[in-house]
Amino acid sequence: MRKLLGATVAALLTCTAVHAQETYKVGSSVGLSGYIAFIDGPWKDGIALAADAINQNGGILGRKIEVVAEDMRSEPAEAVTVARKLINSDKVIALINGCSSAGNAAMAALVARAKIPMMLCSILPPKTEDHKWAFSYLPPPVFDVEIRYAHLQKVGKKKVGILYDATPYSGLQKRTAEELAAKYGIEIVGAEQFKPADADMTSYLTKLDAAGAQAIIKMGSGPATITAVKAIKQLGLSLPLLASTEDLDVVRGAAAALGDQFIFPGQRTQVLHLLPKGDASVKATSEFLTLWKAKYGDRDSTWAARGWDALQTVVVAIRKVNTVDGTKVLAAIEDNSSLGGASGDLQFSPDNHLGVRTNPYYLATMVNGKVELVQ
Amino acid sequence: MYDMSTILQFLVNGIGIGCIYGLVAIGFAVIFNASGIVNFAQGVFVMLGGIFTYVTFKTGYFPLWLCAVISVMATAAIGAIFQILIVRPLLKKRTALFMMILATLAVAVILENAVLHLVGDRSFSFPPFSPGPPFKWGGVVLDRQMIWIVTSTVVLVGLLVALYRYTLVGKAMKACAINPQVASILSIPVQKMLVYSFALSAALGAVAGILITPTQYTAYHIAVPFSVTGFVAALIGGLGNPFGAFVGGLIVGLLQSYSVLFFSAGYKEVVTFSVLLLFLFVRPGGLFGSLVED
Repeated sequence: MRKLLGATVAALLTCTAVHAQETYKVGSSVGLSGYIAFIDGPWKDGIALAADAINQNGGILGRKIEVVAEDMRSEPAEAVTVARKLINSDKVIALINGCSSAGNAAMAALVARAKIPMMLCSILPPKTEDHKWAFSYLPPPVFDVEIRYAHLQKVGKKKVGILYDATPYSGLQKRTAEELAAKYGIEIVGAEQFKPADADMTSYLTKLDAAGAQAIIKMGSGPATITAVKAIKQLGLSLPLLASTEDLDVVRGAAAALGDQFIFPGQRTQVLHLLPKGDASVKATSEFLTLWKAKYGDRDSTWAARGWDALQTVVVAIRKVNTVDGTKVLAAIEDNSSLGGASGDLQFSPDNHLGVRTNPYYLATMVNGKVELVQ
Repeated sequence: MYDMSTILQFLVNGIGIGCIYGLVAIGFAVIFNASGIVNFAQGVFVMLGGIFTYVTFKTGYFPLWLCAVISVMATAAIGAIFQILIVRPLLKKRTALFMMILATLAVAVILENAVLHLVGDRSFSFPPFSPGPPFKWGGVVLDRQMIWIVTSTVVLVGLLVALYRYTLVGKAMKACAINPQVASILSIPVQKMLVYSFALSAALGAVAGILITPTQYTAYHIAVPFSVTGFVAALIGGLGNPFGAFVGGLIVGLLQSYSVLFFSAGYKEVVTFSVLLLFLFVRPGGLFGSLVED
């Protein structure tokens, strides 16, 4: 009996060991609960979709990829705990983290010590010494600010009010907007900081309207945008709201209240049907969307496309150097070659870990439930 | 400086959101009155009110008003079940008060996660009760949904006052709050009154959620801010006094609104919590004290 039990345990351990050898683990610290879940959920699904596609084509270096996603609950402190688990227990070969800038900054030093590439949905960590292992897939704020300012300049609206939230990215967007205002002949008449959970924004909008705002620019993504546009409607104001990147669910909710006065920087995945067919630069987007729609239907894929691209970048680099050694993979990612991603064109180099170098946005609105480009 | 119409507009804005906070605060007061428990799942009832209405309305089979009624009933039922399955056994075991509060937090987390898994992480909304442009008087704007919010809240507060003052059930609930042992000796079904209190509190939360959703959105994660602000409102008005809690809600709504006007949006919570601290030092029982002292 003892022998049988021993044999069984040994067989189980062997199976486990074999299974462990068969996969390369890729970690993902994502906010699957809390305020950032609406972004990190799709980002994680994009990574999983990429892993499925890669595994169906044989995986990497003869093994399959296993994505280990851990919920950091949108809390920076929790992100550190998650990072420790992924690095020390799961022995992941790369991290593909969600969009919490504060969470990613909190774990950056830990990841740098472990010498693991960390692909981010957020901005880069604030400390320069932590940049070495971090790569960002978030377009720099200058792009979405410029496309909105250019539109305002074109339609002759010179006074704007800003709504921004307390996240680092939103703060960066606000600072960028302040720096670029003069270039576009725009005067910022007021800036109000909201919280994503604010139940009411009528007071913010009343104040910005009283300050003479002719348009509202909102920094930070999420359903709070719906609260903001509904506040505009409740107050009977004729202010257009120019939002940040938004999930199409939010766009639908906002456009239902404000119509074509709700404008947003659309992603390639959101406007693909409006782009010239047969364009080689959108091939990766088309391929991704085909798989995405087959699995998730009409669910928005903006953040998922970035997650997909992040894993593809790591896999391309590993295949290039034929190893999962962190230092070599890092060098391969930094080799300055361009990757035509599903979310847009990406390019990293040793001195630039911001992958998005050209403006990826198309100014868009929604009419009758369909995304249209703003002319 | 701001003109009078702007200042009045902030008054209107503050009253509107204050009514919602007031309804949540009343929910806190009703349960505290009946059981001495601070129910931090109160914000979850707000969320459930919006979610249930959205889900039933989305089916396309029912008009919005019926969806709202179904939602209130379903949420009230959850409140009653919460009392029967969680609160009652803990009360029987004479569990410490802070453990009871932790239990309410646990229920809040469980219900939030249940909604997350059953309905998803998306945000939802439904149309205003009376579509159309807002009314304007001079420079002051009054949105139609705002009228619904204020009118419904005033009616509910009136009914609640009448319930406690003039009905046998209300008086029995009040008796349970004063002394459950004596109430029991007087043949008042204490446990039944507690079930009623939880159901009533949940229903009030649901109404708040149904009224506010057309002006914003609902999602599984909206509960906590309503719980926190509602609790602050209840403390300011009087945790043991439903009418006081309603006034507390109005005060918080106005404080938040005028903080934005005279300072900035980033300071509205600083102002609100500073006023709360002031109350805790100067008048810890809140503006209106407790119902049982009346």
